[in-house]
Amino acid sequence: MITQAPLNPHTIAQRNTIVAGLSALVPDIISAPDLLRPYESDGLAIYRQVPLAVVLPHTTGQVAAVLRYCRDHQVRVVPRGAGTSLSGGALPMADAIVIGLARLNRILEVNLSDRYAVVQAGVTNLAITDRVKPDGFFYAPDPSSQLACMIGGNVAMNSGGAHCLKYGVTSNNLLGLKIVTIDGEILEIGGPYVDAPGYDYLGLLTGSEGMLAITTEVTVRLLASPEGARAMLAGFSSSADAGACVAAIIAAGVIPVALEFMDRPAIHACEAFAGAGYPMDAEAMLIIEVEGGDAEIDRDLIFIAEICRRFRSTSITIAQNEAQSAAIWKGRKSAFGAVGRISDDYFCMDGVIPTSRLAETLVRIAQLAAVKNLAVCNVFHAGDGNLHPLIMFDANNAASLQRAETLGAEILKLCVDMGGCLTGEHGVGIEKRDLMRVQFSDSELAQQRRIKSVFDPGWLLNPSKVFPLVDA
Amino acid sequence: MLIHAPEHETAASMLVELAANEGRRLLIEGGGTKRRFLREPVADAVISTRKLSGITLYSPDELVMSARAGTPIAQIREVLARKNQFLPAEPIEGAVYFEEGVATIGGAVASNFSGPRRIASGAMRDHVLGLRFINGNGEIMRAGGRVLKNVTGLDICKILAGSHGSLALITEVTFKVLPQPPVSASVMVSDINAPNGIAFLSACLGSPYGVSGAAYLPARGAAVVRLEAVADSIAHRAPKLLEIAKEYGTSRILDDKESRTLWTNIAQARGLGDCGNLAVWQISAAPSKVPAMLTQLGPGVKKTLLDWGGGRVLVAGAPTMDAHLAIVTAAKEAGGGWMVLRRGVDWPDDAQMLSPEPASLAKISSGLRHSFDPHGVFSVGRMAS
Repeated sequence: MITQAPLNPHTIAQRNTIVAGLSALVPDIISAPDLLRPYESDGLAIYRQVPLAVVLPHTTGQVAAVLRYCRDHQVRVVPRGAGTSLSGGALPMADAIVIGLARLNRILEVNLSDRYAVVQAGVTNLAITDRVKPDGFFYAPDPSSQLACMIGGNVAMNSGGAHCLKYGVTSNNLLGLKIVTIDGEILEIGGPYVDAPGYDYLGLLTGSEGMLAITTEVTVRLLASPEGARAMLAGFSSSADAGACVAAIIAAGVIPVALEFMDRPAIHACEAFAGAGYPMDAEAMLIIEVEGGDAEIDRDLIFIAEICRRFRSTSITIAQNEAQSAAIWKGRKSAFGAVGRISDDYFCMDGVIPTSRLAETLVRIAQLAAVKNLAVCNVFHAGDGNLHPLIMFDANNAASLQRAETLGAEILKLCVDMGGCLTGEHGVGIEKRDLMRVQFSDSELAQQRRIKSVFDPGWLLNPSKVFPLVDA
Repeated sequence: MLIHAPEHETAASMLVELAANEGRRLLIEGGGTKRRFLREPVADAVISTRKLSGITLYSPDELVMSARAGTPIAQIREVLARKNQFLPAEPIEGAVYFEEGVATIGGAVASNFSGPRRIASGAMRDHVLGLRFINGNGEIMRAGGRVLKNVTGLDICKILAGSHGSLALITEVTFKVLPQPPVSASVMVSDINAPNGIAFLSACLGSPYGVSGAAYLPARGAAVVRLEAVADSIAHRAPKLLEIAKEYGTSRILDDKESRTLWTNIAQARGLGDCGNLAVWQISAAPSKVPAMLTQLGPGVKKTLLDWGGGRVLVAGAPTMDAHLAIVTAAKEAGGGWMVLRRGVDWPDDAQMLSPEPASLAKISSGLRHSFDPHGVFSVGRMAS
């Protein structure tokens, strides 16, 4: 199980004073125990902790006032967007307040000729695209949680999505940030143009998991929508064939916008949920999407289908229109919900491996799971080697939970051994914190900690996350 | 000045550790092409990466390459071309505002200095997957890795890319490469002024046709956009761009050869002419703010060149305080950021070199430098405004 940093008993003893002090700064504050309950966990619901209080600022100025108060009174802070983190990035602490971004929910500016939008941190990912889609633009990163997740959380975790094979992750699609430091200073980073001079704080803050500052506004790049996009499905009789096919597609010089992999258990779960017409007899399946004009799409899909046949594909379905594409994606996008129907509890891993080692890694994961007597299904972004093994377990059974946690750690260590990393898009959070030493040396972790200390000398911002606690 | 050129990483780390212990300051240099960028560092010796050279990993099927920092970009381009791949950010070699020398991959990353394709495919920093580097204590460290997605811990790669050698000595870079589209073509509108030219570029960048370059050339009164794709895609898209161009004036399609030559010239900023004793500034701004800004740059300006849809403005002008202040004021009023790419001859010592940071950010920058380089060994003063 997860441990948090040692609590500050003084903070807990002063709870009423702190709540009163913060109430004077922010009208929206939650302190009643039953109302705090919804904030006790995020998307990694197995770990729970009710915070000291939750504040929901409406302005950047209120965020600054709250942070100044917290610095002056040495109160820890856990920032929170929509609470969809799968790595426990927003897990509260008993002696910390949660600063929720939900009330900062306005789109402030849309500039189509310069191709950017300025939005507050609590605007949802999908709301940005929804706003500009009628004009032929979109915001590229598309995490599975995009209906709910907030752009501030996307910045904190450097979120990815199915289409980042072509368009990159959050950090590749930002132009500027408004942040508040623990001293309550409001800073503008970057602006409505690319590559601002000076140190790349935009890059450093993105993916810093709420440990350096709190983001209140984000300037995102808008991209012109393609003429069209269509997906295809290819079924295979083995994961090894599908894995090798992924590498061959990339090697052939056609980079699809998305290249997704599902194994047999995932295919069955998603088909039962979404009725997407997935090949039930296949051991593995690829969803491949390309973009462009109609003729270009046809050409690319036919070319890719030929590669799939070289790897003994057992079925190929090419979408002929947008509706058929949407049906193919419906199953994939609902994968996590679908797996939730066959197992109440599952951990979603997020390791990354070199694509050349895909087939080998899948075999090893199956072996590790068999030893632990746990079921694993695989749904992931194959084009960039970002694996999402879903480990199914029973949270009411302590032994099952412990086996699942151990298996998760073993899978992530395997990813590092294969030349990859612990997390591709979910972040370290609290879930992978104690595995950081698998990937980094002590001196490398010390360098990262020193950077955290520059921004937050008292380690008040999300202090139990990312870095192993010992000697912190 | 004494030049150290260590032949391997361990030797480099020992040199750095020794310098730290002895209180000596080292200027980090790759090919030296960007040595007139920003402020001249205070240094007792140069540490050159030129012998830390060579490609250490190339996996075309995974779109990944690693090379030691001193590897010439030209060598990397050649090796990639054999597999029909390229560097998406199009790092610049041979620009008119560069000094003589061989541009290296380490220098391209350390300066995060990208070419015309930046607007379509991202900057150098967007393609760095991993780094090996030596901090100011002489410790050898890694950041990132060799996989295409990685959010494990703080993104040290990003903060080192664009730090101009002021934080750490980058010794090896792992980066993403992409398949090289076989054909280049361009659509050029001639006899067009800057406001209309930029409007044309914005219209093309807002179209679905995958424009991979968008420049305005004041010397020729021309606006041009580039396509890079397979031949039948070009055949589909170029007429669509030509259709957009109709609204803006006389236009034509440039074939593969003409297009490639033109974009090499744009990357190298040939339109600025011989920079000789002149200074060169780079202004980054929202393209729609640029036409008004261009009229405010002052009489010290000799020539300008606009890339990145108008969002990158290169200005060649007199290396005087008056010219500098007028250009910087215009950039600021346009809400843009700016930096000096070429200190001219007799450059005024007290001139600022890049957009100044507010005091609270400057404090963070100072802390950041200290966190990497506590003894102040590396390229001291380079990033000072």
